[in-house]
Amino acid sequence: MSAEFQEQIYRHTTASCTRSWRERRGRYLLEGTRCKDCGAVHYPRRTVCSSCNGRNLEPYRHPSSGTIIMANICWQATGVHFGYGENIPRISTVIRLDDGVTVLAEITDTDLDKIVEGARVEMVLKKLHRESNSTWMYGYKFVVVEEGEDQSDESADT
Amino acid sequence: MSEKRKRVAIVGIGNTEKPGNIHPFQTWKELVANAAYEAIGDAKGLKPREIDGAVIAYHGEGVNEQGGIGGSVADLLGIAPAPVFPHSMNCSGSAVALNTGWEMVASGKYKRVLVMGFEKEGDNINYTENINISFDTEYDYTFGFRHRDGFELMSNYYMKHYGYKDYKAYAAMSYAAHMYGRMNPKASVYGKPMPALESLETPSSCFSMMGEGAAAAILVPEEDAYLYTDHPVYIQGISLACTSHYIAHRVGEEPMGPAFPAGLRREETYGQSAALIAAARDAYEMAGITAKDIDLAQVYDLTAGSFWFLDGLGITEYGKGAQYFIDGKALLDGGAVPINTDGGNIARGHASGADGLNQVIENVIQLREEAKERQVKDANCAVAACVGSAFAHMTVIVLTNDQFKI
Repeated sequence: MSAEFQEQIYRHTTASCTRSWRERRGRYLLEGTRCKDCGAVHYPRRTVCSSCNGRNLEPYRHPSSGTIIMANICWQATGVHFGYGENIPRISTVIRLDDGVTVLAEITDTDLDKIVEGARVEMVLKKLHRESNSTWMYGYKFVVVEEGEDQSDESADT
Repeated sequence: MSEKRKRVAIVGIGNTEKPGNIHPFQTWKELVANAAYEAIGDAKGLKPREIDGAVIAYHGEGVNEQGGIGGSVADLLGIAPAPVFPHSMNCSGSAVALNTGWEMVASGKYKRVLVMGFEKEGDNINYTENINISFDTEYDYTFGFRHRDGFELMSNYYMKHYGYKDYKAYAAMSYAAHMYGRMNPKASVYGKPMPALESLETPSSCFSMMGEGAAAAILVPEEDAYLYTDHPVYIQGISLACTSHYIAHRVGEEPMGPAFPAGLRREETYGQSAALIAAARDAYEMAGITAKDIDLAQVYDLTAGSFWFLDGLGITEYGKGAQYFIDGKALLDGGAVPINTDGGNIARGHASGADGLNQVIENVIQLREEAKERQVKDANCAVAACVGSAFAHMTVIVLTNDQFKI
């Protein structure tokens, strides 16, 4: 598996496991926040409500399906992060989840010509990259689904 | 702005030649000192020790591996114990530094302020990795996203929704930049052969020429300006607006709270930058101008960025920014507001920590009528607008000269 990600790291800031562990529910479950005062939902999670500046927030799990509203496929490897250099093209999209929240995410396991605005997508949990502290990062990506198809069983309920 | 605000004058400028190149024989200290002393020399009669305050912008400790930079700079320039305030606001850093410099002089506490910005990317093997840290990091950097991805997403969105189907606008924008760059002796493309317009019709002709360099300017109170120069240029309006780094917020939850710009529908902003529009309105109000008063503009040219800059600054209607370049209006003889008269990021070169000041320096040269063959006729009001990260911090700076009349 690591052959897919073999890149030399010389002197790089060593990541702390604690930092990515704290965000595990956001990265694995699409958990953000909901404001108990005004009802606004946020992703990524917030500590102050962006609508009413309230501090009364609770964890809120967003739906794992949505629609692509912005898409880009980049074949140039300039400025690509360590751990992603082999992973070309870089596919970036902005997805509007079914509750209206927008998420920046990569599309995976999908033919490139299907990555267009308006395509329906479903979240999947994927191995991302190996951190400088040698641990593996996991997080969401999305796949394009045909109407009626359901991919959520093995991913969102982890 | 009802009360008349005391203006601040720019009386000295200096910057590195070829900011789109790597300068392997110089340290960041040499780049900064050369630019700063060029600016001090440009302010006739100003002695280095008279500088009583300074500001410096760079990409930050993680990128340049130089922390606690204020003390190093005061020592480097021989201005200690004058304070040196640091900024790290991505590519807009030195424009943000100018905001601070303006405040220092306008407050009345400091009288001779040196504003600087620099970039030294070649000294850091991990530069391309580290520069991406200047995101919000938990949910974009961690997932492997770069600023570039943000810019390209917004560009695709803009081009698609305003009906631009090919790369003609990128080619026209890049061509204009290359034309101007060949008239600017400090540009990285100066003296190089001009590319053919057709060769620029590619998705990559809209990218900056990344490099290293420093830029510096001297600020003094308006009443002292003529002590140091015969052609002072004034900071008439200046603004910085900040919003979320997270690209999905551009089309999602309200990133700027209740103050989202009026007249703009959030769901249909198609790559428009709400922060840019807010900064432009604020700076214009302070300057007492409208977009019609602008004689030339420097904008941050990267992907479709220039297009929505023209839209956001009010030079064009929303969605018409790309057409403006296709019609050749950005050129000197275009019959409209010339854009990026120094060549911009594409041809002047993009030393990110110095970029905001390089724009301001070009406007100062134009308002002094010292731009020679690229001189914009009767230029009395010039705007510089810069972006940090993918439209997370936006600066708009309005400069005028003595001939300017509202």
